[in-house]
Formats: sequence, C-alpha cells, structure tokens
Amino acid sequence: MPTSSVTEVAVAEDPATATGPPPLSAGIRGLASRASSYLLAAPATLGMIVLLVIPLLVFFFYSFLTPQPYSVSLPLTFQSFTQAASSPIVYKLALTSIRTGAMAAALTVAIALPVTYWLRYQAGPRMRSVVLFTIAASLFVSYLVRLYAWLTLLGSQGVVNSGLVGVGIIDEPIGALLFSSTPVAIAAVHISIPFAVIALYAAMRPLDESYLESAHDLGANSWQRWRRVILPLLAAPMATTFFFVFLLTSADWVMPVFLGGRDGQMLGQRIYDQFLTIGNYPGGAALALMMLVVYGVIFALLQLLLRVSKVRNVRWGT
Amino acid sequence: MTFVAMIFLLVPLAVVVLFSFHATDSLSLPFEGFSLRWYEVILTDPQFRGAILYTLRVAGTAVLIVVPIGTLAAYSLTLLRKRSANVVRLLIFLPFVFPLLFIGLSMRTVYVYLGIPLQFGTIVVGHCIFVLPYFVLIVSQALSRLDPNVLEAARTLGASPVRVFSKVVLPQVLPVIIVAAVLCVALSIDEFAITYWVAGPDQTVPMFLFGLIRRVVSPSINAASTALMVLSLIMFAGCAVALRRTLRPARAAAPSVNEKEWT
Repeated sequence: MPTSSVTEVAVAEDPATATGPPPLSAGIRGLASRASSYLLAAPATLGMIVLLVIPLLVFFFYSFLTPQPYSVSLPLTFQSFTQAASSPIVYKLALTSIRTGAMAAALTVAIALPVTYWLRYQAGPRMRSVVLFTIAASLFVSYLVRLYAWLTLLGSQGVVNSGLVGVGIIDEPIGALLFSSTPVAIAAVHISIPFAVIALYAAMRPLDESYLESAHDLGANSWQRWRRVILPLLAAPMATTFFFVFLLTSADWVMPVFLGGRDGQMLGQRIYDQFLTIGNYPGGAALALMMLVVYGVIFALLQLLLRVSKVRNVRWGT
Repeated sequence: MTFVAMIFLLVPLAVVVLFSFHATDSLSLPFEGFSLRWYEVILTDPQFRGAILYTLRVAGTAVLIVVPIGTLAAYSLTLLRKRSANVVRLLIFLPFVFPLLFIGLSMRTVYVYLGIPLQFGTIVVGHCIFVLPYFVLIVSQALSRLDPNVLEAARTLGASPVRVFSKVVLPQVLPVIIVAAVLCVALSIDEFAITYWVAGPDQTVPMFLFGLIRRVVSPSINAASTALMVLSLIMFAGCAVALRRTLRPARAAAPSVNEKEWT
C-alpha cells in the first residue's frame, strides 16, 4: 500500500518548508487532516454501524429472549439454545448443511484449481482472455436463474431425464436426480466456480513462471512442483475460497427448497420456518448464532491447519 | 479440465435460453420447434414489467447513495493511519463475512420491532449495505495504484486537501468509479437473499422469479431468465469495455499491482 504513508510524509515535511518550524501548528494541522479523514469515512462507517452492526446485535440478542408467538418477551433465557441443541431434527439438518457445504466447497476448489493453473501457465493469450471473459461474464448471471437452470435440467421430466430416455439409455426417468443434497451442492458449485477461479487466479498471478522453471531445472517432476511450490503458495487462498463457499452454501435456504427436497433440507430452511411459519424468533436467532459460532470455529481450525503445516507465512518473492 | 468446467458452467444456462424459445409448454426433450410466444407472455405481464421498473428504481437509488459515500470512504482509507483504516475496512467489509440470510433477517427483526413498514426504503438500505463493500474494494484498489509522488507534488504546490481530491485524485479514478457503479447496479438487480426479508408488497425481478418458480415450471420463466441474463451481460460488457480503456495506460505505468489482503 504505497499511498497509506502519504499524509504522514507530507505532514512530516511541512515544517521544514515553512520559514520557522513550529511543531505545535504542524501537530494541529496533522490532527485537523486526520479529523477530516475520519469525516470522510464517517457516512460509510456510521451507516454500517447503525444499519448493519446494531441490527445484527439485536438479532443475536433475540436468541436469549423468551419466545412469544411472532414476538418476544423479557425474561432472558438459554431455553432456545438448549431446545435447538437437544433437537434431533436440528442435528440432522446441521449434518446435511455441513455435508452439502463441504461437498460444494471441495468440488469448487478441485475444479477451480486446475482451471486457474491452465489459465495462468498453459493457455495462449487469446484462449486465456476468452475463458476469463466468459467466466467473469457468468459471474453476472443471477443466482435464481442458475437455480432454475438446474431445476429444469434435473427434474423428473427435466432435460437430462428426457434426453436419456429419448436416446434410450434408460427406460424410466430417474427420480433421484433431484431432491437430495447432491443437486444442491452441484448448483452451489456452479454458482461458486467463477468466484473461485477469479480469486485463485489473482493469487496465482504473482507466482512467476520462473519459480516453476527453476524447480524443473533442479529436477522436480510435476508432482513435486505442485507439492513443493504451487500448493504451499496457494494454500491460504485455497483455504479462504473453501471457507467462503462452505459458508455461503451451508447457510443457503433457497436452493435446498427447490433442489433439496426432504432429504436435502438444511438449517437455513429451519431458520426461515422459525421466523415466518412458526413465529419463534428466539428459536431462529439461536440457530443462527450457533451456526455463526461453528463458522468461527471452522475458520479458526483452517487457520490452525495452515499454521501447523507451515504454509501460512509463505511470502511472494516478487 | 477447463473445457469440462466451461461446459459445466455454460450448458445449463444455454439450456435455459434454448427452452425459452420452445414452441410448446414442456421443458423436456425432444425440442419441438421455435417460437417467441413465451417472450410475449412474459413481456406483456404487467407484474413482470412492474417488477423490472421497481428493480431499476431500487438499484438506481442504492447506487446514487453508495457512489459518493463509498468513494469518500475508499479515499479516507488511503489517508487514515493503519489502525483506524483497518477499523473502517472491517466495518465496510462486514457483509462479506455474514451469510446474507442473517443480514436480511436481522434488518427485518429491527424494522418489525421498531414498527417501520417494509417498503422501498428498507430494500434500498439493504442493497446499499450489500453493494458498498464491493464498491469500496474496487475503488480502493484503483486508489492504491495512484502515484503517491503526484499527490505529494500537488500538496507541496499548495493545493488544499479538497483540491487534491477533486483535481488530482478524482479525475484519475473516475472511470473505475463508473465501472464499480455499474457492477453495483448489476449486483443490486440480482440481489435476492436480503431483499426477500426487507421487501414490502412490491416485488423486485428476483422476487417475481422466485414466486413463479415456486408455483410452476414453464418456458415463460425461461424467457424471463433469459431477459435477465441479457440485461446482466449488457452491463458486464459495459464494465469490460470501460475497464479495458482505463486499465491499459495504468498498467503500462505501474506494472506491479498490489494484491490487496482484505480477507
């Protein structure tokens, strides 16, 4: 960040250019310029605090209140947490959410990594820009349109089934294509791949070809180059990508409604029901807070894993 | 692998487009001929037209609010000391780390508690919060690419901070601001996860689509989806053209681009 030190430099040099160096007035000017910088940030930060941070705090505070039908009342209680923690349904939904999220995240990274590698080192300039352009363009395609695409592809009368029947590979439509956690994960991968490719491409860009060439010249085969050069340098961005795909997929409630059916139900739907169908606000908020804690734990574990495997502090040599 | 991935990315979308031209109302193979009837159905639907207008109004209002606020915030990040800048950054990028379901629900909870009716304004607030981090991320990348020597020269020549900003900084990053604004419009048009919770009686296009998909599966939804995709692609093309024009000289001047570590 070259620009971050600009003001300090300017303030430090100001007294020297003035005739008599008055440190006091320089200090005041420094203060004034800092105050005006705060003023610039004020609308955004205040807006975020009032319109996002406070609502989030209120929302999570709700989980400690006593549920009333579509309302809350005062005595603070852990009732909602104990209820959620002891419910076998919540347990099952949590497992499905984790499984779906992990499947989607693993597949996304597994597909995005070779694509990014190809884009970075193997593609010709023309193919590279065509593929990058297409991927970036698909980033703009609406979430609901993608969801709908998979719905019409995988439905019992959908394109895949009717196509397979038409070609004669199967006689009866396969019902199992839809309504489990697999189609939810597939749609999530479809949504996440463009983000993942762009994030990993940005991370791979500073990794100069000469590193790979010198590894090659030193006798490393392609597996060793992946293992010793590329993966350590990409471990942190890969972990971040994995985490965010996991987060977005496992907390989703729209995709499982359409693609998940009964077997693919996830925690997000439960929260939705608690708020809109049952009217148990603390119950929904408690679930959300518990999910947030789990996300925090998973994130911390990933960071720990990176540290233990000693790849966290790898620096780019550019 | 890339080829397979591209097929995986594009074929489902191509199928949606293909069946929007289907002559019959079935969504299964074999394909039975082309027709534009579903476009007629959807484009003459007053609800869909209303949703499009409403969506554009929401997106336009949100972006008009986010552009000045976000630009100032991004500029302040370059002026503030590291620690304060990190606090500001943390607040602005907060929507990235929370599932959108939680954000939408928490807003709804507070509005319901305060008795604020869910309406146009509540959607706009939700969209502003949602797009602001993207806007600030892009604009501060552009700001970090500015030559600090030029800014310092302006200062030592006696330009006031306001003048430095308006005469030196702003002209250089204006194209990027426009690109970021278009991206925010696109994001706002597609936003569903927050909108669902803070919307009043009027529907945005994604809400309209959601309602349709929930009830039936019909080529008219394919037509609406295709229309939405075309709209997104137009915006993407606009972004891409503008970015190409602006980034070329910048890249030539500064070959090493800082990778921001914001996550």
